[in-house]
Amino acid sequence: MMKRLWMLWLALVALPSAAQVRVVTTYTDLADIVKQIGGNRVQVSALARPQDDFHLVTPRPSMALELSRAKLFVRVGMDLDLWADDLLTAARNAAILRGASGYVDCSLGVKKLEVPTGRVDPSMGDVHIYGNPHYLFDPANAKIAARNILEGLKRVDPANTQEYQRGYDAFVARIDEQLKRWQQALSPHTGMPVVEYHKTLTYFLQRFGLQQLATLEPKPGIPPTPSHLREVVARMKNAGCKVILIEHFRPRRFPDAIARETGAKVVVLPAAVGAEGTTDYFSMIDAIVNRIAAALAGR
Amino acid sequence: MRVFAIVLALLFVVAGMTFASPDPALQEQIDALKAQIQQLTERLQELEQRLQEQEKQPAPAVPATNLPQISVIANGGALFQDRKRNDSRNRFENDELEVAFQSWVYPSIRFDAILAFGKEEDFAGSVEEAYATVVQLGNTPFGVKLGRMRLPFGRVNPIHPHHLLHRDLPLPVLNLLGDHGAISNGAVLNYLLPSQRLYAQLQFGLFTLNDHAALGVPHAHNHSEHENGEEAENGEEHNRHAETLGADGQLLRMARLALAPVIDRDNEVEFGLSGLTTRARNGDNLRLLGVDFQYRRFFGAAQRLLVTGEWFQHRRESGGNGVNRQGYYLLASYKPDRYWEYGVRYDWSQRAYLDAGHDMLGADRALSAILTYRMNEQSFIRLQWRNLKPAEDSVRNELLFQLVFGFGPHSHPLEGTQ
Repeated sequence: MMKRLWMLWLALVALPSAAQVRVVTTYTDLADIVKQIGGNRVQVSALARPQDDFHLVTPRPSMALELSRAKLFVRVGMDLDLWADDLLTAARNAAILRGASGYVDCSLGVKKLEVPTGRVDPSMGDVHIYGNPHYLFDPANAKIAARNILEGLKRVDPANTQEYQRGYDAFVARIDEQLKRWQQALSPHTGMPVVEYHKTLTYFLQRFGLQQLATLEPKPGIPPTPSHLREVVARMKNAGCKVILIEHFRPRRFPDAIARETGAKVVVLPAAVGAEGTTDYFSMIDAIVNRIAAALAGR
Repeated sequence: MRVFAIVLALLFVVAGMTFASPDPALQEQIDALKAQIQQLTERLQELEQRLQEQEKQPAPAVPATNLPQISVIANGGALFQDRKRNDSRNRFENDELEVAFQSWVYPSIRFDAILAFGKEEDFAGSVEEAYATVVQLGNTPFGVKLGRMRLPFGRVNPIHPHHLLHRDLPLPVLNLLGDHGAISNGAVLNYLLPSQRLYAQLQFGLFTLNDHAALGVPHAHNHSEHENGEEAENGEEHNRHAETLGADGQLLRMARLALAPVIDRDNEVEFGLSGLTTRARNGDNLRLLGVDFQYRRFFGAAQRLLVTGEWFQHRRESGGNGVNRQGYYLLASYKPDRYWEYGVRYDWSQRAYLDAGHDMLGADRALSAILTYRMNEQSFIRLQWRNLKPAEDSVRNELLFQLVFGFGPHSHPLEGTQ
């Protein structure tokens, strides 16, 4: 009798942790995709906060603690979340190290843009040697990331493969459906020029046929300089560009100054799920598409 | 009846004429729109086809490499001082060049080799750190670090000089650990306590001291030893010279407990308790104790407030006599954005001399204001004003200028993040 009670207690205590797979992602976008695929089968958290600049996340002990208990670690890769490497070492969890079954690099299979060729050094700014890492802003790439996550979930929790597959299928179907709507919303503006603060929307702009005229940063990660901004103003005036796109965490000083000089509109975009009132990946892309479409239509 | 028939016929004729003659301008507009739709439909189909073709193509594979992460950091600057008897005053100097090779060498083992070329050794290279980190021993919560390393003693000691939030080492580190901090060969066993709401790491280390180990106290000059035959100035000496504390072949035991309760995403607080024991070169039993804390508040993107401090106690006992010296510093630093950082630091520290004959009463004090501009993750410019009051000398004002340039992927353990 005692043995049975003991077994029952053990089962009850073990149930919450056994039922859910603990997943830690570097960013909130990935956490949402994991949630959409895994549903109630996963317990997911993101290390970076929505308001963080994705290049500058400070690793801290509480993050190492989260990773120490994770069964699956999901990252953007391409050196965007290089800051997580020190955490992986500190977390003492070999199951989520690179090459282990609990490690997922979502960039696998993504067709990378702006991959530098030849010599790369800091004179070129903060250039990522594997290419522009902001691929998740293209919804088609979110499907590839989801596929990588699906494979990871299957590896660490094979018992629930079918459920994960269903979650993945639903996510992909919803992306396909929404993608048509997003394309329709932006199709009247095909080919129109926009200016960005940083090359964050390269994949997005290519997907929706918009033209990246210039960036306020002279080189990735290098703060705007007066001479470069003068050049940007001249190019905007020549091209009739009326929209400056900035991520929610960027300072407004430089974009506002350029907007005053060119009559352009500064559009603040959510660059992470949870920023600017967005609740999931779809609402994030929705907000980006709608705000850009409205600005390009002069509204 | 005939009249009605005629009127009806006329009405049909008029109506027929009206409907039979469409407005040619309207028709042209309709035709033009139809042509545009046709063109757009064809273009859309063409673009969709191109997109499908692109998606079908496999992503190009990333070329494989087996190179380690290689990085170079140059740390230099200048000291401007209102005292005219300091040799290093008003000079631009390169303090150190650090070259790091870092790589995974086995599925859960990484190796870090950090070579330093310092001005004190005339830029002859030396191994500052070279250690292997076993992330996890089997399925246990234990990890091991083996090799030559900066001892995980306190908060500042494990951090490389170019990674600090100030140009100089705080006075308690200089006076009680030596001007290079504590570095030695040995092993550290790490244990991460299984807790949900508390990061608790316990570390036990065993090291061997030798001539290459760095653990020191200020070197006590006799007046006759001074290089230029000038009167020795205590505040200047202890910045530039240290005396090795450890006896060759002596074992050093240390332990550290680091605690960080999980508060929320915006706040992080850490506490540390460190202790080490060994036998000093003069035969004294040495005990060093350290208590540290760090609070960080993260606001918006890259915006952060940091308050940190450490207290050290240096105790040596030999027979009935003993030396008990203490020191602490407090640092507050605010980063409004990714580029700028402002800091204030206060240091207070007694000096621990190996030769009790040089013991002095009182303590060194310093107040610093620090301004840093970060160009990128590894390169920055720093200006630090320091008001230094050595224990047995008058106040001096210093302006310390620092330039750090780095390239290549470079990382340090989590304990070093600020």
